[in-house]
Amino acid sequence: MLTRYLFQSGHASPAKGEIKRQGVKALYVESNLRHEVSVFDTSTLTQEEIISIGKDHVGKDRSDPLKYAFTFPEEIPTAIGLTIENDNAGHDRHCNIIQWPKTEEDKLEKEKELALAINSSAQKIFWQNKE
Amino acid sequence: MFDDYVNGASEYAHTIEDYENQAEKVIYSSGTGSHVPLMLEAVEVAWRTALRDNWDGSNSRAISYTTKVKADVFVKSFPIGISEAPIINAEADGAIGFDWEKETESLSILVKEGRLVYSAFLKDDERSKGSLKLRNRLSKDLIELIAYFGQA
Repeated sequence: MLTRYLFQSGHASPAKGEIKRQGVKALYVESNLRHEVSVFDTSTLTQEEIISIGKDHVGKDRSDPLKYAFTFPEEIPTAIGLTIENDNAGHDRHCNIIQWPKTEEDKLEKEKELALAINSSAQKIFWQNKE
Repeated sequence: MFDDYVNGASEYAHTIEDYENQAEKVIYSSGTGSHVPLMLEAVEVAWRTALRDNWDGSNSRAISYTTKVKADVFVKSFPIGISEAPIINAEADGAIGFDWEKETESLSILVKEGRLVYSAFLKDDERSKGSLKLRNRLSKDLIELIAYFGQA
């Protein structure tokens, strides 16, 4: 399972428990010369441990608190032609979703596809910070 | 499928430059008019949300002032008769995003610097996408999509 942590309220619809396309926005990483979406391999972890990574590791240098976490099977991105790469960057469970299309319109379409696929998954786990 | 809406498109809703020459006339004579001030405010909020790089974590990009101005002009170029305003958001790649949803259908438009990119998911698995320079004429496809999603 993979978990995507979100810190912007506009990146999910809490009433529907759905991630928006902005929640899986692929960003260009200059050091790797490619677009990536940062996720964590949270297989075998409890929900408490998953949220702990979001709050204590991903959120440690951010001013905004963790708002949402979406956990979903890694087959979801791979089924639409994307690839998961574990790079251990800063955390041994850190991964990137890579192999995004080259053109901006194709990338936008793929981000929408990925959000739709996550939301359609029966195995999706949605967490919202209610603190 | 968009024929009903094409006829309602503003004669001014074709190019950004057209708008710049006809701004007041378009804003206050069209059905879009009531939404324009709120949409401009939302663009301003999006821009201020992302004034610095890394505003949404590492690798996120600031929204430039040029992008903000282009988004303002884009908003004011919407076809006449729009009654549903889009959700406007700061995007982590430095774009300003405009999103409409109609049940299972959606239209997403990104404005970044001088370019516009869009993607629509429509009924029956129909899709549409494209990109254009904001100084060029908006495509017929895009005008139709905005008019379609902008209807209540």
